[in-house]
Amino acid sequence: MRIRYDDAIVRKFIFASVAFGIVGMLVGAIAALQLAFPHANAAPYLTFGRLRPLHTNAVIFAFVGNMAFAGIYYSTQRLLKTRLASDTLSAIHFWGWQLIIVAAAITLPLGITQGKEYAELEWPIDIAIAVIWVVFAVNFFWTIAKRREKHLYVAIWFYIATILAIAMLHIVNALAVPVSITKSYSVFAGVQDALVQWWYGHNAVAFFLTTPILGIMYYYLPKAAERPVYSYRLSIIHFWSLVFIYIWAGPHHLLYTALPDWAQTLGMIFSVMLWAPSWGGMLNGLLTLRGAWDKLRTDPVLKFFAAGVTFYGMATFEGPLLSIKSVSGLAHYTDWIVAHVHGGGLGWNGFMAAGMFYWLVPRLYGTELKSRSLANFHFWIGTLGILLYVGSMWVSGITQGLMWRAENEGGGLLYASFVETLQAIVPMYWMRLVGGSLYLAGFVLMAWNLIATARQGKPVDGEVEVPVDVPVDRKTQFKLLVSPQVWLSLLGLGLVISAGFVGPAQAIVLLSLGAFVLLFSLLLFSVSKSSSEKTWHAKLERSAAPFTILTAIAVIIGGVAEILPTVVAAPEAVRATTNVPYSPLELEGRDVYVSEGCYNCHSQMIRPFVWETARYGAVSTPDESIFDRPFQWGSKRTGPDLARVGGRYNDVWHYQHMLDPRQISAGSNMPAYPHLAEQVIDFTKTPDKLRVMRSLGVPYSPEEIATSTEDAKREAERIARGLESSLGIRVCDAPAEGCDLMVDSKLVALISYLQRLGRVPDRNAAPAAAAEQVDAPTAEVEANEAAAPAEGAEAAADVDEGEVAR
Amino acid sequence: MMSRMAESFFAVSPMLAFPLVAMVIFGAVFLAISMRTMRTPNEVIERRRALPLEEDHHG
Repeated sequence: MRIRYDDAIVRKFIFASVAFGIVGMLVGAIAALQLAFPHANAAPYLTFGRLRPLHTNAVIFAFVGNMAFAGIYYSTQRLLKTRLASDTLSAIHFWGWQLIIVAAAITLPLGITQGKEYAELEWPIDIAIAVIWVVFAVNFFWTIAKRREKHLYVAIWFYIATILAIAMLHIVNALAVPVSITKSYSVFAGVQDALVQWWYGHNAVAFFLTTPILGIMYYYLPKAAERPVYSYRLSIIHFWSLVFIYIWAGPHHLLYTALPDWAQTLGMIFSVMLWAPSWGGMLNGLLTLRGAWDKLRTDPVLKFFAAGVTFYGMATFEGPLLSIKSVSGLAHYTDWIVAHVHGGGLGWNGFMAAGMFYWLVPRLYGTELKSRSLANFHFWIGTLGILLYVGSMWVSGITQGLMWRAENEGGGLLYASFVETLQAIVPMYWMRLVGGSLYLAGFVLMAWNLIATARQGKPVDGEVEVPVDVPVDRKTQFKLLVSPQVWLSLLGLGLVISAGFVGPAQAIVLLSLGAFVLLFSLLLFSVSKSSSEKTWHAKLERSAAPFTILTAIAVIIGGVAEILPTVVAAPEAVRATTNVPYSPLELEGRDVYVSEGCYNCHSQMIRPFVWETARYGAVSTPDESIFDRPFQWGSKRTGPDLARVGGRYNDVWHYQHMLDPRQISAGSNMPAYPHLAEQVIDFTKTPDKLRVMRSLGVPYSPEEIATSTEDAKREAERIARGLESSLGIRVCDAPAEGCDLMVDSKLVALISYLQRLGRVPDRNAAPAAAAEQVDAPTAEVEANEAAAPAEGAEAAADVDEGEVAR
Repeated sequence: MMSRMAESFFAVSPMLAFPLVAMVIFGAVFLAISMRTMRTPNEVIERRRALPLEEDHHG
């Protein structure tokens, strides 16, 4: 029987990936320029805070996403010796995904965002993503079901893990209650939201940027090298270790934050453990080239693959390193993290994509690559670009980390003004722009080369002769699922997870029992028949359904164990809180903050270090963000932390600073926001926001909701009239010629929100009580808090004077 | 000595048992899969290794 593969869909995904890759990288280059040269924030819709999410979404979901779909669809058909199950589903998948990307490209510059990194898209697009992902999954698993090759090659395992994990991560993290078609609030708040978001964020890296590309590596690298993978045994260990460990590592993004200590420790340990499987995979890839190293001199495909896998090794060495708490203390919030991300993004994802495209396109068009020398030039220009980019960001990040913590002889901050630390790294920002531009130029050359290759050939679809249809043995699949190994594993996991919901003594008993049961079940796994191919795992590798279910269990365990305890504790935390919800105007101002993407440059999380408490104030507590939907702890400090900025400067300072940051703080690279003084908020919609918040457990009374429109207007009037009397500006209730500030403007609401940060209104208990809510404060925290006030007050005064004077 | 260390460790939070159990689970999984994999016959492994190299024909 002769089968004709559907390669048309592969061609479409390839060219979509190349096109969106160039667009995404171009947006990244513009964002890089804006950091070095703030006047490049030319339009309200194109400020850094709005462009950066567009860049990340474009390169992750549009570039890598389309590339992964192309690689998966091509290799899956050949590994399973069958055409994709449905041409219709393939087409829906392709066009649906592109529409989602276009929707993202429209909504993100408009400031329509959920304010969660790499998950910014609003709820209607989130639903579309879920639907299209299900279409992809159905098409993929249906193809597996009609396969003509019994054994599932290891690449298919990685694809299965990708499909399952991304579905789970996306759906859980995107859970939100809509206020309108363009606005929603997350069902999670504060600490839980942070934990869920970084469980998602880290595993988006794991299961969107890593596992599909590893599957691609296991297929395309042997093809290009014309020799089998170095060790198939190692690939099995690589797969199970990676999918089991990766899902736990998210909390390493939240070290030294208000996240419970146990979750931080868990994240750190699993991150360090990731070293082993990651390097196992990397070595397996590189050693596949044994005996073929000479081909690297001439073959651009192998050059890209070898460098890509090497960058994977470097990034996965650096990742666990950065997850060690003491290293994170220096590197977190700095450009070191940007260097790490781009080492993986440009080196691993970008180069693996380029290698795959150069290998695939000539075959898909029945011709030779138009220019091998140009592809080789692309490789070298790209490598140089990465080195400049990553090197400059390493220098920048370590400089930032050291300057932030530097002390003068008296023990105070040596660089008390944050702008000093920014100015020191501006040359590195220019260097990064050069490196990124070189890399982008390489991709433009690749696009020309691929298009020229396609034009000199014609589209051809692969064909293969297959002997027979392979019947699916459903009895064996069922037996695998109900075997003692599986139900004992589930029992053990149930015992371990249930330990999170009982007292300490019972927890230890349950954990011990669970560990014992798990060990016993694993022993059964390992000693089952091994003399023939009829072993338990051998059967499993040929049975897609049980394999998929067990993979799902492996990736679900970490999420459940990490997230459930905080979710269960949330209602009690809300009942016990001394914090109060945001006023209607503060809430509107917070939505402006989220919409403008302020979290891209400002954190709201003061860590338990002397240099942080001296610069920003007391250590942040979980209670302070208990009503924050989404949380805004941030992950990068291009500007200073804002957790306690409330009351630090007066309204006049904020007004002038937003109109022209460099007039107030010379050397600042913050965009100017004069347009916020003109853009107005429709306060008649404020009650809807409060109503949704109340449905999520935020204690707004029906009376507060009913009067929220008037309350917001009254508060806005007070702030605006105060500015009018202080500055002599013209404040208007309605649009008018020569008006400087609208009363119900976004700027007024934003000032209201900024003035609330770190402060609880007098009508409630003192904020000091909130400090008691800190989960398991470490000795270091206590010591720092005890040491902080005197130095902190002095340094804060220095900062105030210095910045206001400017 | 060990009990005092454990007491001090868990005084911070009983939840700190999670990382320990997680490490035990991972170690056990790693060991089991490694044993299982190493005992798989060579001919089985070799056939699977070669799967991507089975050629198809374009056009």
